[in-house]
Amino acid sequence: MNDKEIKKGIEEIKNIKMTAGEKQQIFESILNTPTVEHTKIRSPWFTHFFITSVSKSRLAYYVVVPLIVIITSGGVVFASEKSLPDSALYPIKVGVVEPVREALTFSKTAKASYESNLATKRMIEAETLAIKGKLDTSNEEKINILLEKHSEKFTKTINEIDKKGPSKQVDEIVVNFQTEMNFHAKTLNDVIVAKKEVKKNKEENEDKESKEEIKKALPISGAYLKQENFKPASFSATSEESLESVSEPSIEIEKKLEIEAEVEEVEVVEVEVEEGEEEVEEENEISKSARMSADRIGERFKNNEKYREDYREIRKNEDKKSRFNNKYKEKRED
Amino acid sequence: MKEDIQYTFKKIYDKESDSIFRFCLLRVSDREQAIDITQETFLRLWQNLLKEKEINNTRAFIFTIASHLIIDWYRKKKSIPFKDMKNEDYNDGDESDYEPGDGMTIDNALIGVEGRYFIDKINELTPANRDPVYLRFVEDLSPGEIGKILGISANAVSVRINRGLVELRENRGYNKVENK
Repeated sequence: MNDKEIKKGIEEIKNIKMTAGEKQQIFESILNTPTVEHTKIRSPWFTHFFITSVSKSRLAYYVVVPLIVIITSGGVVFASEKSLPDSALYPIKVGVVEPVREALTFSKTAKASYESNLATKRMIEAETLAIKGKLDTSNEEKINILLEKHSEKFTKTINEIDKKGPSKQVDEIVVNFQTEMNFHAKTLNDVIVAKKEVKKNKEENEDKESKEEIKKALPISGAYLKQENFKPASFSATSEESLESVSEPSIEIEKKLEIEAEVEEVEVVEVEVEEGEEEVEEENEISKSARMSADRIGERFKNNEKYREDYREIRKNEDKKSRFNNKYKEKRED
Repeated sequence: MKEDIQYTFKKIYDKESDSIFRFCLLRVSDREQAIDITQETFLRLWQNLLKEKEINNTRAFIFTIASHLIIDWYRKKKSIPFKDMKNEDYNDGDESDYEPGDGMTIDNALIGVEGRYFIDKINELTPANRDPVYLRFVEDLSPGEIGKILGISANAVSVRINRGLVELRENRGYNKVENK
């Protein structure tokens, strides 16, 4: 702009200023003002705004929604990792997560190893449920079916690999599977037996306590009632002799009854011992399946005497598990 | 650390306080109110400096704060919907909003005839063109800085400045003066 009047006008406007006093006053009041930290208050409409803005934007919609799905499903997978057969997430674990992981293993050896790990996992789940006292018929059935499935897949894969020829790595996998199955079969049985014993002891203690209470309640301890040819004496208020004969039991009769009671107890204990022996022989279904799977796969070693000996040792003494593995590795390396 | 911030603040304050005061006075037409808004503007600048927030353009920043405070003041003064404050047709026929004459009686000694005339003519411009013309020619702000203050692009600012100049020249008597 070249207008002189406009320029002059602008210069005159620029003369509009605060006084020095006003300037100083403002400056000092600003420096002396206490600083207050404002906390951010999140809008209550934030969620609504986020959802509507995402739904309106197509690009964001195609990115955000899949992202939410992935994060949620990741969370479900993570949560289902440690679920047991009595949990709601267990079907997701065995029906979705594990098959997906299996599909991502490409070599047959890796697949065999994976099935072996799954079988071991099933055994550990059974043990955990047994410890918690939740190993009922339905859970047992679930685990059994899965265990048999894993064992069959494992055996099938091993047989396919065997067609190509002997392999050190495969032998190791098989031995590992056998030792794990037998070890966990025994552990599971031990847990179940221990639980039953605890339960029995509890019941016995309760019985003992109730018997003692009854004894205390009945001063005559029923001795008179158990006497043969017991006849209640005829009472006469004046006859002191008759009263004495009723209130004081004879010592001989009491002793006889005590002996009989002890005999009964011995008989009961003998029966219990017999029942206990039967229970030790009776194995849990899952443990049975595990041992049978181990036996089945052990067939591949039937022509090798050395392996058969070691295999029998495992059956007898599960403590040799780690020692056997090390021994086997050393021999194969030789 | 605080001393450095205080030094920086003093420098900015000494340089820009009169511009902000002038800007506020022309908009609110009340000296006391203009001083209050100026104080509030620089208080916010001080608080931002203390928080060590990054400010790319200090001039544009403080003019933006002042502009928003002026709009808030108008909203409190009159209960008018905010969208109407930005409306180009706002203030048409309503003289009570801009009364530069009454508010600047103290400064009459400092403003000459040409200054008062120019202010009057600026106030008569279309509202959309008024601020860009004032900020460009009186306060020497660039179109980019004016765009940041008003929330429009630099190109839009240039267009409005040109339109404002056309108005000044053709409709407000400056053309006649030039032709003379």
